[in-house]
Amino acid sequence: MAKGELAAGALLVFLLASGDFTVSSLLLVRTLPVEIHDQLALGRPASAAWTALPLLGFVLLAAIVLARRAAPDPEAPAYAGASRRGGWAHWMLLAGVALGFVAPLAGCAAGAFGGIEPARLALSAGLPALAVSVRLAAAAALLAVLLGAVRVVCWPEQSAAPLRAAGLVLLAVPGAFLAAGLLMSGQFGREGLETLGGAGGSLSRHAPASVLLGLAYFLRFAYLPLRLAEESLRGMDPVLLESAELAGHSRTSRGLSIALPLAWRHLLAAGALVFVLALGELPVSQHLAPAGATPLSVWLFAEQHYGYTEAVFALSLLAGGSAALLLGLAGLAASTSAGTARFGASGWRFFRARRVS
Amino acid sequence: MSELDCQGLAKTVGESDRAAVLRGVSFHVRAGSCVGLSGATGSGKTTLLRLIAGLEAPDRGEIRIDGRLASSPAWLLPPGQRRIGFVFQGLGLWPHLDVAGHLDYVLAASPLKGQARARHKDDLLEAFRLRDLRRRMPAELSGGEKHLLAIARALAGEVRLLLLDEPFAGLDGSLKSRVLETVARYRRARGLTAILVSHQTDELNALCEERLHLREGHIAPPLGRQASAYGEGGGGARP
Ligand SMILES: Nc1ncnc2c1ncn2[C@@H]1O[C@H](COP(=O)(O)OP(=O)(O)OP(=O)(O)O)[C@@H](O)[C@H]1O
Ligand SMILES: [Mg+2]
Repeated sequence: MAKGELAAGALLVFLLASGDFTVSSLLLVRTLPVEIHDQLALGRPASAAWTALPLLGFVLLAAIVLARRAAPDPEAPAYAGASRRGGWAHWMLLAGVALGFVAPLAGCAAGAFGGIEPARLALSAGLPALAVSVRLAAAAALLAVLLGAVRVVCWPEQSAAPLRAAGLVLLAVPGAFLAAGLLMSGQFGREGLETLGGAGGSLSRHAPASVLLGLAYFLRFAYLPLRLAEESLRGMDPVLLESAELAGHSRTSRGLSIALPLAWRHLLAAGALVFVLALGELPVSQHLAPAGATPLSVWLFAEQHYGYTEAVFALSLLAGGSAALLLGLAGLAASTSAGTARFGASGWRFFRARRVS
Repeated sequence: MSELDCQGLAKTVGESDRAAVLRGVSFHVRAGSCVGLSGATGSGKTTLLRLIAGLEAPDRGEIRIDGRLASSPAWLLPPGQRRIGFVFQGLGLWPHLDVAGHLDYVLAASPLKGQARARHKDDLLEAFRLRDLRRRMPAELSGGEKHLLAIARALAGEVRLLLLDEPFAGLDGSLKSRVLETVARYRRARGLTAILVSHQTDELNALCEERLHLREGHIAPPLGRQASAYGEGGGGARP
């Protein structure tokens, strides 16, 4: 079983790496995603699409394989061995944190506090970009939590493998490709609204230009809430839902009163993940960012190409700090187990009060 | 009060290594009576109760409740419409609801309203000694208290058929006899039909008028009785 999980994990990493744009572009490696991005930037969507074709085929195949394969054994004890951490595992953990977190942060700090100029630039030019990103990422995270909640409430007893596969495809296709698709459908949508006239027309004119980008973040990472919702449902004893069913509660009531209160931590985690990933998302942002609202990742990417690395460091630090702060607060709210219990109980009391009244 | 009739029930479980657990189980439970069900570990007692509750469909055979077809390979009356109270072997208490919340949630789906509902809930809390524990979460209950809550929950709704899957495990002698008495009282007062899975003679004697024994996928005549009283395929508890 563990072998299967490892293979699925490796396939997922391969899948995401094959579609990555940010790293390959910065390192000046002409991978397929970079090529697709450049073709689109040059205004040649047709040739970009042809370039993307092999990658799309691969992504589709891998998504199907993963959706069928990568589901954890629900019987497996979730945290077996967690309490026996220690010895070499402990040191591995520490080394990982040092390598992946402390070292880059220290580097950033050294760069950022090396002089006043980079910090000034970061704050004056970069802060608006950070604000744009935080706003859009938060909107995407909110939508993601909502999607997960709808999935849990409406189908608490069913697996949603096709939906998950679709989400995985959206996660893994080259960002430029997804952006082009969204641009086109956005165009169609606007035209459709215009032909409706009246409210539709004014909606299309007054909707903020960044709506499309927020939606794109949400679609890009929709796999995460779907996946985590599924994880939480799989970890749930079916008898919990069955006893509610025997009492005569409808599927929606079971989802709302039993499944959702038990899944909400997973959904919050999904929201947090979407927030962090959307904050750093580059290829989609680059194509969909409206004029005058440059997201953080695009700003950082441009600065890095100019070589203003201290400013990049400074703002990265700021972005990382604000993300960590937000997530820490959310985590704190979620972490008390009493909180979980009371949330469920009060949620149920609210539901009951509404039904009775 | 429900009359239960099972005819030729067969069920195969498992995905990879499929095993025929039930191979033609037939029996009849008179309305208002209680039948004790015993059998070796893994003989299919829980599986049989799940079939009766409609949580799974039989591969063959049919189940009738009050003469109405409830389960067949092609048709399944939704579990919520069977008016069954089920004490699961693993209890399945809702970890996010407190003791009172368990009863409230079940009662919310019952036709009982207002004063009558509140009185019924108080009765249950009192009868199962849960009044002082009403604000406790399942994680804050002892093993025995969890069993009490599971039984109270099963009795909270408008049930007519009670399925008890080893419900008294973990209760000490004196508490068990009190709880047995309480369940018996509820059963009599509401004329509940019941099936009790148990190996304990004191439990079976206190609650049940008749016994069934599951062996190798069939209802076997209990030891000490004449095999001829039970037809082919085991027409167990027919009066
Ligand atoms: N989901 C399942 N997958 C595979 N096998 C199963 C499943 N559920 C039950 N079984 C098997 O079916 C058989 C009957 O199970 P069941 O739970 O009905 O037994 P039981 O009589 O209730 O046993 P016990 O007295 O231990 O509770 C067992 O051999 C068990 O291993
Ligand atoms: Mg059992």
